[in-house]
Amino acid sequence: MRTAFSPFHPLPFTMLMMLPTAIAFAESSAVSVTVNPSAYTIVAGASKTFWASVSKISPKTVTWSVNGVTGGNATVGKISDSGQYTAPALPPAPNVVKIRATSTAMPTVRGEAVVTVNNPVPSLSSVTPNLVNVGSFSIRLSGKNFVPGSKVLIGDKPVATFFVSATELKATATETSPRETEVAVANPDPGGKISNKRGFRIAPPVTISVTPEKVTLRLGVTRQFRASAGNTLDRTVTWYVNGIKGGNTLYGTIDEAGLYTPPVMLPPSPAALSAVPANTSTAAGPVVNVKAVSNADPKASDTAVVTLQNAIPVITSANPGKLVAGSQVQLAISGTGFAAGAQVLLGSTPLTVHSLSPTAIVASGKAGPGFGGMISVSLRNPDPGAANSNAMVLSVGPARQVMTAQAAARFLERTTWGPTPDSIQHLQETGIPAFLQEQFAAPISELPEPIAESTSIGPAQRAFYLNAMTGQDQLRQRVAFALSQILVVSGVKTPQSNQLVPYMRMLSQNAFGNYFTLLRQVTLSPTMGRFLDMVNNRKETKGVEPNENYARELLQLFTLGLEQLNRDGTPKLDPATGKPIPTYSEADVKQFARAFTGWTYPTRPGETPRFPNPTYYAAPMIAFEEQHDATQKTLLLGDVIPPGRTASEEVDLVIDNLRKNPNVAPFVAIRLIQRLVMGNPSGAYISRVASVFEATGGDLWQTTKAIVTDPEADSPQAYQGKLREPVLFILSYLRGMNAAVTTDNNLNGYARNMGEDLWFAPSVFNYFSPFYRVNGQVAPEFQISTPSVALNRVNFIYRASRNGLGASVQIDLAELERLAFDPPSLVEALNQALMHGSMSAAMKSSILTALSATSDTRVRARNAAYLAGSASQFQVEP
Amino acid sequence: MTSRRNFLRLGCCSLSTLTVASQFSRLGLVSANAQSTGDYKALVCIFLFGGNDSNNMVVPVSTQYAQYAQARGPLAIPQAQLLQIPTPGGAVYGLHPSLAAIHPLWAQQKLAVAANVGMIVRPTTRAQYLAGSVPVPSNLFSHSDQTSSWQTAMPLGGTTGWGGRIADRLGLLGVNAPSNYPLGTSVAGGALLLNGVNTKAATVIPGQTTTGLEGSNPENAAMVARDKALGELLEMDAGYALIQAASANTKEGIRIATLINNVTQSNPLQTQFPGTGLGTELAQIARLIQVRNELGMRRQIFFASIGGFDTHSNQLPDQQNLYTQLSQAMAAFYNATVEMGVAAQVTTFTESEFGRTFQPSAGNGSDHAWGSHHLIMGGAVKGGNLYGTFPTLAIQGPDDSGNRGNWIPTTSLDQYGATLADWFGVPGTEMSVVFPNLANFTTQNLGFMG
Repeated sequence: MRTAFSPFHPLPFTMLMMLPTAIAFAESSAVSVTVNPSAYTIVAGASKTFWASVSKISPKTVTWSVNGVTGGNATVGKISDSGQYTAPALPPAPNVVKIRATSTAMPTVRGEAVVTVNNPVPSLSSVTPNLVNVGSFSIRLSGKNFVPGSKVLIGDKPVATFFVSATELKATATETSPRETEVAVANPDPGGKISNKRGFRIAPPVTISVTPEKVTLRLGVTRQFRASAGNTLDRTVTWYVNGIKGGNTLYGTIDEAGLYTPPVMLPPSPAALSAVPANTSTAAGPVVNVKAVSNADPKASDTAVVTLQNAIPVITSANPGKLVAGSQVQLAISGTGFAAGAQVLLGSTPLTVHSLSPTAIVASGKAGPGFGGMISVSLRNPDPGAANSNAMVLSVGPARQVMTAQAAARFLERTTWGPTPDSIQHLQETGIPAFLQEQFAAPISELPEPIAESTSIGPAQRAFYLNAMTGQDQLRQRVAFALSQILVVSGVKTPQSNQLVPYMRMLSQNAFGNYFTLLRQVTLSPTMGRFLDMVNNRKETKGVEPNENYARELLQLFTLGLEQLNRDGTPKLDPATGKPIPTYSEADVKQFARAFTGWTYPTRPGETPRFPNPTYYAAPMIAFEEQHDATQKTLLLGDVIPPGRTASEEVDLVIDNLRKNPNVAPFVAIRLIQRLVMGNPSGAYISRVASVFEATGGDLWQTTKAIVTDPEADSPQAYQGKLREPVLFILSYLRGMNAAVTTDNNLNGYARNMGEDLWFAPSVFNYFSPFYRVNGQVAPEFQISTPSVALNRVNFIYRASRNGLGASVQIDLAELERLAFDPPSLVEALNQALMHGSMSAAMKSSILTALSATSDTRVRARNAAYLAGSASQFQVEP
Repeated sequence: MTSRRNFLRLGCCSLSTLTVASQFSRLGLVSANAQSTGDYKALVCIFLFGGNDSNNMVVPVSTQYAQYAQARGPLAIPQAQLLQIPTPGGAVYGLHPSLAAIHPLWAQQKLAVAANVGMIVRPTTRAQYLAGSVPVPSNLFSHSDQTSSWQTAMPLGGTTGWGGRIADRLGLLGVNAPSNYPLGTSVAGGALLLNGVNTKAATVIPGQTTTGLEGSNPENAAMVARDKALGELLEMDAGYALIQAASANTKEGIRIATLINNVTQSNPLQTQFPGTGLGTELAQIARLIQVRNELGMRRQIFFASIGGFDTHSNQLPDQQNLYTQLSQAMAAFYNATVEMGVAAQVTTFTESEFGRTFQPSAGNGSDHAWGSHHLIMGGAVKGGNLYGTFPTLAIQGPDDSGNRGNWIPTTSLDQYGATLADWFGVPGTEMSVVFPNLANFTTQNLGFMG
């Protein structure tokens, strides 16, 4: 209520009411009632207090009416007894009313005021939404002073408006052109006014964009999709997979936030390709669609294409954990992500899959020998998205064993070109006696037939390495190779295959025969004849003496050596001087040289024999007696060849003379022991072997058996054996690593880089001397192992350990990589495969530390194989 | 090349001086050094494996040719084909015609001959030999034993080489300090000549391009870890002699490769070497001499070799081939020393386990004998002369140890070697360690070195 006191305004009515006597007292003069204000404009619903001035009448009270209605009414407005007029909610028609004040005391006296009632001015506080899309839409407006006739204006254009209340309007409209505009409200007449304006955007249609648009996803891996909405304030979407809200277990599910989870198995293909874009191929895997639909506008949506691939399978267990090599095994494998069609590998061998679910497989097959007693189980999911699993490492051993794997491997070191997983298993099962019988009976590995003189030796050398890798006659090969380093011919002088191949065949054929029988064949070999100049050697002619070369080396290098030996290999000492006693003199050499006269090349087929014959190597040399010195000769031990013996008889007599010589047994024993077992055998060992040699008249099979089964060979003091000579080093590493080698290998190139060019010793003195010492210990192989060669040896291992020797030499790196999932297993497998279990804890620790520098199983596999092969503990036979 | 740092880690020694030197090299700052004629001397041994029949390498022309031709029969070189080498004393000899490549060095006085050198314990006559009244080397006529003898200068057997003993003694004197590169280098495999008591030779495989530890990569953590583990494994010998030896070899191989890899960056020599085995070996030696300053070398002994001299048969064509290879490689090597400005600081000499019988053997060859002639080449050689005593070319003559012309050496290896060692700078006080039997000979310097 207004209560202002002002000299210019009448007193408020309430105060007048307090003075009734005084007012009535003035009635008698000019009687009147005046309404003040006399004219007034008001908005509908508003109030205004009018004052009535009553003159000279008492009491001065009045009654109020509107348009003649006392107190007014809802149509014209109401007025209270005290003159407060409240305009009607709507302006009346006409919108001018009369307010009358009638004196109570004198009803004829009255005053009037004219009141104009108008609509109020609208005020707009918000438009919801203030962004709409083209087309039909409705909006809600909040504000004040809205009246039933209010009109919503969009960009000055009235639209269909629904009055809700004085503070709320609704409007609907259809707009086709996007634009920024304004919204206002216009109230109708009387007093029609336009409200303030609010910004309003009419946008193009709603857009939805899903990212990523295209994705390849493995089962088992979720993917977050995001939908961005354009031209709308409601950015929410609803997700569908292949049209199914939220997806399902067949095609995968998607949550409200857009996180897609693929199904457990690939959906059938083609998978409900309802909305696959035309250019989407399904070859990479079945496709599902992930769609986001705008909640603001269901017509607005976007679809992402998901190409599903098989999971990367993970094995968490495989049972049983211990397998029997060579037997049928059934494995129960658990894990995740196993796909239909998955291939299960045991080692590198596929198994037969009997049952398969995403988390379990049962498969069976034959267990191989493994690698170092270990074998991996892994699987490979097929396309789409073919992928290997991790590997579990199982142990594998022979069905029955008469010796440990370690003992078998040690025995194989000296009877083969190095233990392989297969040979260890086999020997464990058969035992040594049966194994040796097999070796004795094994068919001889052949070398390629030389075609002509010009045939390169390369193919035969490559065949040698292949035979060593795969041939059954391992021990024969080892003995033949040992003999080739005692009864040396060298490609340095006889490089052709028609020279070397027949000679090497002869050694193989006689490797388990009799040494003296072999010696006779060697003596008459045209290859040896050429190498040491016995071919075309003849009796003294015009001051040209018989050639001493073969005679000298036969004595020095093939049978006796320079010093007389005791049975145990120690030199006999002259009791008088205390010095070694020579086995022969220069004069003896000349006697032997004369015995070896009269021989020439065998006669080529179809040609007439003559002295000298043209070169020919396919048969023993032939003798021409007229070139033979048939005079008397004195051999060793006082033997005399009487005059008149033929060339052939004299060869026999010389061999017989040597057969009697007690030096041969320890001489040959030392050299064969050195080549097969150790550089520094004890006198007792030499003596035992020499006794067998002597007792059997030079039987190489019995001698070999004595060597390889001797207690000293079986338990050599650790690392007192020998540095693996290059050919053996290469082969034992590759065999230990279970390498596959083909006929076009170039392994001899590596042996050459290490100082041992197969069949190309620098001279008849072989690659190294049986007397060479290192650190005080006889160790012949060290003579060629210079520091630069040692580096080449390590670098060979580097290449071999990463299959860098060419396609013709491949180790099973894939299996090593699988074992590398468990580095300790990998290192232990290498320990067993290469060092028959002798690797120290410190070595293992160093290697494991190196492996821990990477999680890449391939690098781990290579580095482990490198370190194990490079270590001196492998290079020296452990 | 990327793996150098790793080599360094595997190596045992500080290489800081070398590293600095090699950096200078890359900046081109050592060209002055390379040209310098500072204190540097090298001996280069070319070992003729098999026993060189030097009866045909140096042939008397002015005095004994008739005896030569008569006794040698089918092996004799026609006099007209010999490349004449006159001596200041007036006697004229002839080089084998296949030595044409080095023949001009005789006239330039850069090439000399030491006649009838061999292993003897003391001066020895035919009578003494036949009577067995003086000690003679063990197992004369055996390749293996006499190959050792010539390298050890220990005619009764020994395990250290005379070059290795020089390295021992000069090493104690710090001649190459502070370099860690060995004084001896063999480009022909293991060489007993260079084995000392305390020192071991470097070995370099001539012409081999990969000399480092393959796979080393300082940028790759896994390979760095691999090399670290290898280094650890090479220290795990647990007292086993063979493991120690093998690991020592590997470590030394890595160490030497590292040193050489770090310095062999110089411009290639202009001198062309023949592509033969010996040519490749001598080219490798020349490259090492080229980087002598970067390796920190003031004294070096090199060992090279050529095989095939065991000419029991087919000698004439074989020798023609062998001497061609020998002379062409030697001539190229001399030219390379001239190019490098070190001709007077590098002396090349031959060794061979023995000579061969003057009398031929069946098959147009010759058999094992004893004394033989040798070649010495270099700017410091008092060339154009023949030193020592040429043997009397008579079967069963005064110089024949037997009945086929097996010449008893008239000059010992000790005298031959000591003459080289004296030039090389071995103090007289050390000479008896290097050549134990030198004291048995009156003349201890043959005078062929300037």
